[in-house]
Formats: sequence, structure tokens, C-alpha cells
Amino acid sequence: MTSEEMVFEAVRKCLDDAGLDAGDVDAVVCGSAPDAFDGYHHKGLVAVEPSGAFAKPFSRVFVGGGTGVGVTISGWWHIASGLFDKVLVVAWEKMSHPYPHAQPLFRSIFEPILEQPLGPNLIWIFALEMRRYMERHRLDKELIARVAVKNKANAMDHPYAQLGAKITVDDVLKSPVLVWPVHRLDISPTSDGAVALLFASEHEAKKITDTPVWVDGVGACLDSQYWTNRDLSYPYYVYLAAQQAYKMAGITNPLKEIDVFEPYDPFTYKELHHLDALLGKPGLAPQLLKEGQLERDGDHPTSPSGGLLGVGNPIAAAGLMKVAELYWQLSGRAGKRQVPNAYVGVAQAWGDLMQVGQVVVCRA
Amino acid sequence: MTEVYVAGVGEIPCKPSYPQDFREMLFKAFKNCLEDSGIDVSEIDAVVASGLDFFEGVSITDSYTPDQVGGRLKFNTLVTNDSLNAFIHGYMLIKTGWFKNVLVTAYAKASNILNYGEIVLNTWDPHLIRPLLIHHFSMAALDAQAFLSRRRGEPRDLSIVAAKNIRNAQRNSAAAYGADTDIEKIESDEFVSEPLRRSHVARLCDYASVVLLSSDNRSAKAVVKGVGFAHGSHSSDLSERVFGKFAWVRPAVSQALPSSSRRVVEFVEVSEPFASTELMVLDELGVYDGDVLKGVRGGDFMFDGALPINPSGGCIGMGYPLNAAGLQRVVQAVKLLRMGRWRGCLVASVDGEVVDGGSIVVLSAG
Repeated sequence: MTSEEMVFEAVRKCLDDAGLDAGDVDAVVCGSAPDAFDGYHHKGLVAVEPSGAFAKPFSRVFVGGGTGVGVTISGWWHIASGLFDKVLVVAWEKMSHPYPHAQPLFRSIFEPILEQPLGPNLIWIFALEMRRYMERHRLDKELIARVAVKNKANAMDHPYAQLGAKITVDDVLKSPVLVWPVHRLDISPTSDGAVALLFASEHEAKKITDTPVWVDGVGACLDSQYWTNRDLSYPYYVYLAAQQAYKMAGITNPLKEIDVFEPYDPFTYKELHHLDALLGKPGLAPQLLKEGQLERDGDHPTSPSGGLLGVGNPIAAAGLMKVAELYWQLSGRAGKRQVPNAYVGVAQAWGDLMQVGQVVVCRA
Repeated sequence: MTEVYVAGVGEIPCKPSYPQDFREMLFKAFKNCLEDSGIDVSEIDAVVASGLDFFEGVSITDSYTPDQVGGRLKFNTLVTNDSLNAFIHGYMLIKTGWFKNVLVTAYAKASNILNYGEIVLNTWDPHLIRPLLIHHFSMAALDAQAFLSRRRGEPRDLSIVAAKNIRNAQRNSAAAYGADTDIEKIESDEFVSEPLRRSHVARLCDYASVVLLSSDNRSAKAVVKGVGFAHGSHSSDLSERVFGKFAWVRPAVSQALPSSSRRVVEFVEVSEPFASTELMVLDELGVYDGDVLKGVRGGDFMFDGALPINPSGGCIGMGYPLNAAGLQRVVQAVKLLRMGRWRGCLVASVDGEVVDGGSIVVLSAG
């Protein structure tokens, strides 16, 4: 399937779900990560035709791995600006194109003079960050491995999941070490995927559905390109993005006021790392994990979708996948994955040179 | 409803090549913008950048923006379209009511690019079109020929446009390619792809510009009166392409400017990688009363004409800074408005050389 076909399928399903046609849409905003994945220059153009954007306002926003939530935020500003009433938001990634693997293309994200000559690999970098996180909070691998066990189990209930599975902590620990302390099962897969959501102004949303989900707050934050100069144990930029979103949503105590968390989890430790920042308390997420509170039936359900570890990691689409999960959860349409009494949710994505935080708060 | 003002502009002049890194270039443009606006870096709420991976030679180009424009640990986004589209996203952010000062940034380091034609070729379908190795000059020539044929124009009309812009650029200190040329000199140029001659093609340049948008009118240099953007018949396999006609312009201008208000446009700044681009955009804009080709021949679009088009020199006179072309046009428009001669203008920018898409902004003097 080509990128165009993936986009078309996601858009078609979204518009069918909303009972609309492409002609009803005022504008389209798309998101996709590095052009190198598709091998297209200016690759946003690939989505013009399959999203029905002919003669319509069409843009592509791009903040690396943060794009999926970034494109959500862009959908929000299209509507909140008062310029548009119905905006189609679509994100995709086609990671199966690069042969034999997408990993060498990630090298092109690094600084060409100072970093690329070192031949960096993303897994090295995350191993550094994971090690630092473990050291600061005195965490062991057994605990962190429980994120993979939880998310892959949750993904078994997701009809679009790539890697849903019943696994054990032992399975994670016995999987090959890629770069210590990162094991193979600590990492989300490379994935192809596309997601589309329809954003509407308040009066239009009420015409389309009886169960709209409202975007209550958004936040975005970008740190310096010099990632070596910051504390890798705490993503302060995610914290700042969350604070922007909470301020807009009127949330003062996220642990109490948020019912569903969908933090970005390309690696096991990243779910905890990001949840710490969303909660504003370094080290709290591992404690909640230990107590079983992050399970789907726990007090603070986290990645009930199965997350990137279970559903898949189509880079730019991954964050939008999480926003889609909030939509299903908060509108009561999550099926077997449904979290009881889910009224407020937060989704977050992260990316670039470990520097971007994108956060959206939604309410039923 | 929140009004949006251009509170400051900054640029560094177009040059064939700068010895500095793109970050240093952008930093200088940023400093110039801050000085122009009189605001402090701490007052900037958000940054909207424009960038395209293959031009930069790195993936995830937004990573490299915040440090040199005071954007670290602030709201940032990247729009991977022409920078006039980034400008419109900045405008939308302010319109939400949640942002007061938004910086829009763009730069081009074209001198770093060794294989420009090959990069543009990668816009097209890898199976059906790329193997044909169509150079973008040829694609533009097909557009130009189709346009001239449809509108009963002459290749010489393209030379009139190019001569006008190159001459206008002599007045602009930020222009790289201004010269005292004339139509006959340009008509004697070699063809790069018939009917396009060498001077009908804007030469690439290094450039950086930064624009500060604000909801605060205290340091307003211009007022944003309307915005619009659209994509037309672009398709990567050319199956839907309508040569010689920009389908994006009419929907975009209808968003930006009600037809009843088109008299407010006293000049137009339009990015024109090719002389034919200027005519193709103008033909669809509806801001000139009359036949566009007759207007060209009659001198109506000259600096002192009835409706000056690219009085700054445009991209043919200044240099074509890739995706920074749209913001380049905004900066020139604001500079021209501040001269006091004109009260309102329209800025248009195409989304690259071969794409049927673009953006439009209407500005009035602050």
C-alpha cells in the first residue's frame, strides 16, 4: 500500500464515521515525519489528493516524532482562530519504504558537523537517556519492563494493533540487549500507519455528533538543539508543554483531574519519563506503575490503547493515534479498551532531537 | 475580534552565498527584527518556522530553529510549505487569542545545495515521472507555453516581466541581482527551456528573514487584513495537473480579500521563480481591471504604473530563496508600505517552482 492509499483509507474512515464528504471539509492539515522516509521532496504534497484537498487550504506541520499531537494542535488553531469550521487532520508514516531498515535515515536528524560524523544511532541515544533516568530514580529493569507487558496486553484489544501480545517481564529481560539497558522488547516497532480526525467548531460539532470530544487545552514546547546540554532524566520541555495545556484547560492537579493518560511510549522508559512530566513530579510514574495504578483498570489508566509499544509506532501518525484513542475513550466508543468514567484525557507526543513536547487535553 | 499586526521585520540581504552557517544568518535577521519591533526576546510567545528537509540536508529541520531566534523552551512549530503559509499559521495562532507575539522565521542556504534540480525532481512520483528526469525548468516551460497559448501571449511578455523586476531591484538594497537591463538584452538570452530564457528564471540565493506578528498595535508596521491559502491540481504523477493555470489562486484570494475590497490593493508582491509565474498568478488574482497581458505591455505593472507588481524586484531581481520566498515578499511589502507611497498591498507566494499551491496575505499600512 502506498502512502497515498494509507492516507485515503484513514480519511475515508474518518469522514464516514462523521457522516461527511470531502466536500464538507473547509481545510486540511497533515503531518508526516522526515521526507526521507517516503523519499519525496516536500512530501506533504502526497496527501493533497487522497485527503480531498483540491482547491482547499492545505498545510503540513512537522515537529518530528511530536508531529501526531502537533498536527492536532494545528487543527485546533485552524478552528480556534475562527477561520474554519471543519478541519480534517491527517497524519501518516510509511516506514517500510527504507531498505533494509529506517534506522540509517534517522541519522540524518543529527547535526551534520558535530554529530553525524560519529554515526549516531537512535538506540544509543535512548540508552543514554534510559540509563540516566534509571540512575536518578534508582529504578531496575524489572520494573520498567512492566510497561511493555502492560501496553502489549492492552493492545490485544485494539483492532489496529501491530504487536499486541501476552508477554512477561522475563520475556522482556531475556530479549536481546541492543544497547544496554535497552532490550529489544523495550522498543516499539517500525510501522506503517495513517490516522485521520475531524475537528469542528462548537456549533458544527454538535450537528455532526451527539458525543463530541472537546479540545480543552494545547501546549507545545521546543528545547535547544544541543541535547547533550540538558538533564536527560527529566523532559522539562514536556512539562512546560503540559503546563500550557493545563492552564488553558483549567487543570491544576493532573493526577486527580485526568482520567486517561496517553503519553508517548516509543520505549518502555519513555512512558514513565513522559508521565513524570505530565504529572509534574519526577519519579512519580514508576511508583504508580509499581502499585499497578497505570493498568487499564487502575486508578490512573495509562496507554489503555496499547500505546506505541503495542499498537505500533508510525512516527508522525503515532501521536495522532493517541489522540484518536482519547476520542474513542471519552466518547465511550473504546469497546474492550474502555476505561470506566473517562471524562478527561491527555495525549502527548515527543520528538526531534529529544527536545519537543506536544500535549493536548480533551474532555468528554 | 483580535487584529493581527506586523510589529517588526528583519532580514539579511540576498546574496549568491554567505560564508556563515544558516543559524548565524537567521540570528542576524532575528536581531534586525527585534530592533525593528522594539520588543524584548522574553515577550515572544511562539515561533513558527518554515523549512523543507531536502533543502536543509537534515531531517526534522525545526530542531535547528529555536536557539538563534529566542525560541528555546517556547511554543514552536514548523510548517513545511512556503513561508507565506507559515506566516498565515502565525496569524492563526494570534487569532486564537492565546498568543500575543508570534515570530515567523525562514531562511535559505541555497549555496549549500549541490544538486538542486535533483531535489526538485524528487517532488514527483518515483515510478512514473522521476525516471523521465524532467528538469523543473522544463516543467515551468510547459506551464509558460500553455499559459501564453491560452491567453494569446507572446514569449516577449516574459521578458517584459523579467526586465521590470531586474530594474526594480536596483532600488532595493536587499536584492542580489538588480541591474540596468532592458527587454532587448533579455530577449537575446539563451533559452533554458523554450519559451523560458535565462533571465526569466530567478537565480537562487542565500537569505534569511524574520517577521514578528502581534496582537498589540503599539509598534505596528502593517496590519494583516486578510489571509488565504489553497492547493490546486498538484498531483505527484501529473495526472491531474492543468498546465498553464494556477487553480490555487482563486480560492485563496477569495478567502483573503472580498471581491468588493480589491481596490485596497495598490501594489502586489508575488514570488516568481519564473517570469511566467508572476503572470499566471496575476491572471487569476482579479486585482487588475483589464487584460493582464495588455497591462504588462502597457507598463501598468511598472514601479510607477497603475498597479505595480513586484516593485521590490521580486525573486528575479532579488534572488529566489526557496521556501523563504514568501516571507521575503512580506518583508519587502512592509518596507514598501513604510515608504508612505502606498496604503495597501497583496502578497502572494507559490509553494515552490512546480507546485499548484500557494498563499495570499493582504496588508495595509500600520
